Amino acid sequence: MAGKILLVDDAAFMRMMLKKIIAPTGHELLEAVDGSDGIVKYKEHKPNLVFCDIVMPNVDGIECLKQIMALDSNAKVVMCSSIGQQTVVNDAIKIGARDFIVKPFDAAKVLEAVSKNM
Amino acid sequence: MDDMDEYKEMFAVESAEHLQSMNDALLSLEKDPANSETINVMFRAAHTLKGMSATMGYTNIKELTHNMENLMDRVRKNEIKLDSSAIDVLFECLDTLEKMVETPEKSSEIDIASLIGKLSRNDYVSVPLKDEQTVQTNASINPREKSETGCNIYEITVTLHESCMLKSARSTVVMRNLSEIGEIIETVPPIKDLEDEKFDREFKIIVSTIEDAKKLEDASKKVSEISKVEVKSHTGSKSREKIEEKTCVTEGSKTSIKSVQSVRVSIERLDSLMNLVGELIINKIRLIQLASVHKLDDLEETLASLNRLTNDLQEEIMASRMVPIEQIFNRFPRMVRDLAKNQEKDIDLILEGGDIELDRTVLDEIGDPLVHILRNCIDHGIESPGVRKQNGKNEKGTIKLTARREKNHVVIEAVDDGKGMDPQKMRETAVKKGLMTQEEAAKLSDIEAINLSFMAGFSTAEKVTEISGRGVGMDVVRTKIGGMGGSIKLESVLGKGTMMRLKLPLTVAIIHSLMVKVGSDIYAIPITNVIRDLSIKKEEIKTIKGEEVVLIRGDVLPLVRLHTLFDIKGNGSEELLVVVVERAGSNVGLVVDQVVGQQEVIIKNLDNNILKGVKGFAGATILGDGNVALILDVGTLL
Repeated sequence: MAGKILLVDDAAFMRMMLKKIIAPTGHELLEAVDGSDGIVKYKEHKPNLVFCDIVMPNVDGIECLKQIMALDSNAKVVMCSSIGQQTVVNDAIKIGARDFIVKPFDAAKVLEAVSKNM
Repeated sequence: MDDMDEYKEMFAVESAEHLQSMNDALLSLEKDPANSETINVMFRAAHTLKGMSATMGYTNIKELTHNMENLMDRVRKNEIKLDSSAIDVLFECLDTLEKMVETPEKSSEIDIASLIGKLSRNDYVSVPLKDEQTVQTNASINPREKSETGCNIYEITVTLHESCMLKSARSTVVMRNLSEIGEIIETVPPIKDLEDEKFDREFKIIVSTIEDAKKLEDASKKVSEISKVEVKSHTGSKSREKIEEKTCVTEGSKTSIKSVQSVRVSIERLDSLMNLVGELIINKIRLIQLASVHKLDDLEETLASLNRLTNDLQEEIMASRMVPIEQIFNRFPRMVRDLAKNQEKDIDLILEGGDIELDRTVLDEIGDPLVHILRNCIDHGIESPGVRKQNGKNEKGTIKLTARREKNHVVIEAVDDGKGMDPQKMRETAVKKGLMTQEEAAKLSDIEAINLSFMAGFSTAEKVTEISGRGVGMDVVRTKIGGMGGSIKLESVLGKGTMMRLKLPLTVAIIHSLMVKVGSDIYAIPITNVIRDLSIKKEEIKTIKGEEVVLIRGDVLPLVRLHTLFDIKGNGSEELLVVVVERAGSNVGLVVDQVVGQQEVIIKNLDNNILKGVKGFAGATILGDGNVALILDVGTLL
């Protein structure tokens, strides 16, 4: 069953990476350029899954996650973290993030996150 | 640096940290063997070190830490008690580990079989098992037992995928998923350890739920990066108690967002940065001089900001070189414990001011002198408990080691409440050793007599112990401290104790100095040594037994003419400038021609050139005009 996936990351390069990895699954891919854009796009499209970067300008990933969770307590958000961000990721999960993936992205793990959470 | 070297360096640094925390833990376990938090610290450190050494392929380190971990695990589970024999064995293990970690490549050459034998001994005092055993048998008979609350209790063992990177966060996801269908009662390792990533790939979660095992398995397997999930029914008295408390583990364990951002930089790199800044400052001073000579007013503003920038840069680099003194203080409790035990003395070591920061180089330099000073306190200062009791003292001796910041330097004091030094005995020894004649000795004041201990070839120990009789005396200590631009002061009251005070510059690379002129040469005197400067009339000088002195407010101040010392022709003026410096507890006046002013000077070591071994100089510095000035070392000069 194809669904909608929203990619929130200020780095176009990272969104591209994710797109290339996820595209073959056939899900529809949407992009947001930062946290505040992510919240707007979430309201607009109600995606089935969100990949959300943590460090972003304007509204960061944690705030974006909080707002999305406030909009929809069943939202499925996967945090995109770096190796050193364990504490932040732990907090994100307590806030309600379903899952996380670690940069640099491993295609298999990204796909695992997609299949387990869609 | 290639990857492997980087790993090795990381290993060296981190394992040293773990060894230190094990050392601290053991010392406190010796006093409080049942402290479960300390036991856990010990357990975790051994466990982490095991993991690290396994990664690096250092099998012997891994084996030893593995066995230590096992022993600590038995302690943790209350199977055995940590008695003094067990602590001794663990200390022995630490010593061996230290050796192995120092040169891990050679760790396989060290025989650890006997240590492992001792660690896995079965005759440690065991703690009687309570009814836990019976509960466990019940469990095996009746695996699907319902708990009092009507829930099933399951133990879920989750193994993370090998490539899982944020293991702690992954475990949080698993717990979150499980908490949605049940209540988490307990985790192994404890939740704090899970959060700190203090576990391998495997962890256990004990859940109370009305759902069945399949549901739990599915919920766990839904998480990414999991390689195996095992669900089995669980019973244990500990968990039962917890169910009644209805503890929900995920609550109250929220950690605040904190990000510590730091980079490791090698000390060599900091040294070379410091050197470059030194050169920069020399050039800056040169530039300022040029501007004033050629009256280049336009340059002034630029120079002012250059001045500020170089000062900021210097301060930043100095700050990055600072390390807490703790790093050397830390090894003293163990040393004092061992020495005291050896000599059957009872000694309490009190450390204060471990957070005071010193330049890395200074820290490296004072380690040995401090060891020597502490050993003196133990060997010659603190009496045996019997003697102390006889003299009406507390049987337990005290050595207090404190560090504190005083303006531009750090003061370290070692105070013991031992027997103190006997000036008369000092005089006798000096004569007996042929260091001076009977008459000379008799002339010494008590303070001077006590300071004889700084003389080369002097040691009052009638019975030289293996530790303090290693050929390095207090004279070496003084030379070392003086060489850094520091000073040392000794005070002792017979029967009451001894105090040794070290005054150290914050950094050795750059020292604040008083610049003086003798003849046509400029010399730098470290400001830590300088008490004051004054000018005197020629006729005020008196001669006592052939030595020139001057009376300052009733105190006799011996004078030393640097002209005579350096063989420079004096100018024969009626007014003399005197810089009063502190040396071995007493003051000496150095006669100079001119006091140029205070200045930060950059020390260039004399180690590698012709002046090596010449006493009286701590180094040289390059002045702004390109000239070289020697830095006086007051301690060895006179």
